[in-house]
Amino acid sequence: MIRPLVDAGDRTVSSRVFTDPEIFAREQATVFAKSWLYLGHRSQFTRAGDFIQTFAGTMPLLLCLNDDGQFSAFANVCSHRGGRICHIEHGNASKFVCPYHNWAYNNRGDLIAVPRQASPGFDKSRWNLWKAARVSAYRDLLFCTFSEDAASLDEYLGEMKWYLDLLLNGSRAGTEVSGGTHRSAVRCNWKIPAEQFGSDNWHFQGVHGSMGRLGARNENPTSDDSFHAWMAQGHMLICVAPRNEVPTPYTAYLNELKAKGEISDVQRKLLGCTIVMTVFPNLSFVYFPGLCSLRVWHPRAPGETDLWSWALYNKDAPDQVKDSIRKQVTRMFSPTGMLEQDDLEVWSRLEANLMSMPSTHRLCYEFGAGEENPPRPYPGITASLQSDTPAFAFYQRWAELIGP
Amino acid sequence: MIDGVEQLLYHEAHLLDSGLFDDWLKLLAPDLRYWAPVRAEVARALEREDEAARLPLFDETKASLGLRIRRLDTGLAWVAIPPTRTRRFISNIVVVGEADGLVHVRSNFMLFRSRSFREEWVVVGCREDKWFRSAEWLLRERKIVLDHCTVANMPEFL
Repeated sequence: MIRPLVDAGDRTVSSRVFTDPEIFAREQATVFAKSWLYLGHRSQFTRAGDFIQTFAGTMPLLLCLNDDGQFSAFANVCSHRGGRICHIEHGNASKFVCPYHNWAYNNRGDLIAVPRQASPGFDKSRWNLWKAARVSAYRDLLFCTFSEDAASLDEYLGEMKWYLDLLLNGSRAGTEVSGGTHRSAVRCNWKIPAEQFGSDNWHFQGVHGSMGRLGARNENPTSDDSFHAWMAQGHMLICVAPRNEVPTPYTAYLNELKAKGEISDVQRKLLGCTIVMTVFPNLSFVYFPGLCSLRVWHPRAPGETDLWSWALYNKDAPDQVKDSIRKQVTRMFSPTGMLEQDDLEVWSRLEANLMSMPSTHRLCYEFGAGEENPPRPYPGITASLQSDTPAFAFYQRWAELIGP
Repeated sequence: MIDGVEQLLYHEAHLLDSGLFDDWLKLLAPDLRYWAPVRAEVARALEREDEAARLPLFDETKASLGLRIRRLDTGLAWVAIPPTRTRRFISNIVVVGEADGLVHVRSNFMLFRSRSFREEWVVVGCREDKWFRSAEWLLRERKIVLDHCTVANMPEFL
């Protein structure tokens, strides 16, 4: 009998989930084709015609702001022979011309001109670019799906919106991302970091012992406000309360937001915590008071991922706060970051090891099975910080989508 | 005092490749600015234009570099257990000018690194330095321009 890739019976996950090229291809056709995928941030667009290059799973994609204020998303792949129609990472254009045979498209992805004499009966409308079925925004975050029958983005995000609001709605002006993107070659399967960022507080003492030794850890894991949360959609989150809040210009800024009524008492309390979350499948955030990184794990191959990340802050935050967040993100969570470096190192060894094992090898997600959880006043299903249950729920959602 | 900029940069490379980071720190001025812009996939002029506005890849002071060294010294930084073998080649050294006691130096580097039996990378870029020349050489400013848009894990000082 073939065991399922994700086995709820003994809470194990097959190593093949992270290594098998056939599973990787199937994942693109199912998990990535059916989910809502993060593409970009509203602040990356200022006027009609602005576009950015990104990826939807492995597919190179253009996200364009159209004249009517709506966004279009389509493959950066010419319908004719597959040429890359746009080569710069961002810019402003009303049309894109493929360098291979000059097929031209507007910024909605419609084929508008073919320079060569077309054959009789050639129907341009059949050769538009490969378009996302829908593009939707949640606050400043822009997502697309390639599934015609996907639930709305609102429904997809579900209870995760409450947590996203902590980071996205801290002030009425909304948020912006830094200009400039940290791009990191991550030598492991995309699910390894996506899992860690939503469900693994435990790794800190192992992987980041050096930062703990330097006193950079201020956590009270037994606080009522230290917990995991997850949802059936596969989203998951870690929240860790501090032992005591250290006053900084950033916490003063939070106090100001609370005094003005822009954030609630509960929001103020949680914004004093460490929050790390993954929106299924591959969008993550890491927040410390005074640091916020928004990051996408772009799958490239079973053992290769490109991490694209930005600093995220309130649009109307004082310049001092923005500068400090940019610095902290760079020093902690970038290809040169003191926390990221050790994650990248450990993940790359892990991937190499999984590749080396027999196909029957399985990984343990047993912790927290059968755990009794006191109800917590927070959305989603919650569990203690040591629990593997949120991570396992992520793989269960993944298994539902990829199918047997 | 080290005789000439070329010898100075070779000496610095030797310190870094030998893991003598505390000695390297002594070459840095207290008011050092050490930074690296991220690269962007855009036209050259545009890339230059908003270089300082983009999120940097490094934005360090002498104190923050000191913290990075102390982190390596804990013996718990997995990225350096065991230490990565590095060898850097500094070339195309040009003294661009001298103003207010600061010598402006441009140099290219190629950094070879190797770890875990057989993993090997090459990192390439250019540095624009301002060295303060007094009794000793002190680095006042270094801008590092990497020739990589997507960067592999980068714990090395450049």
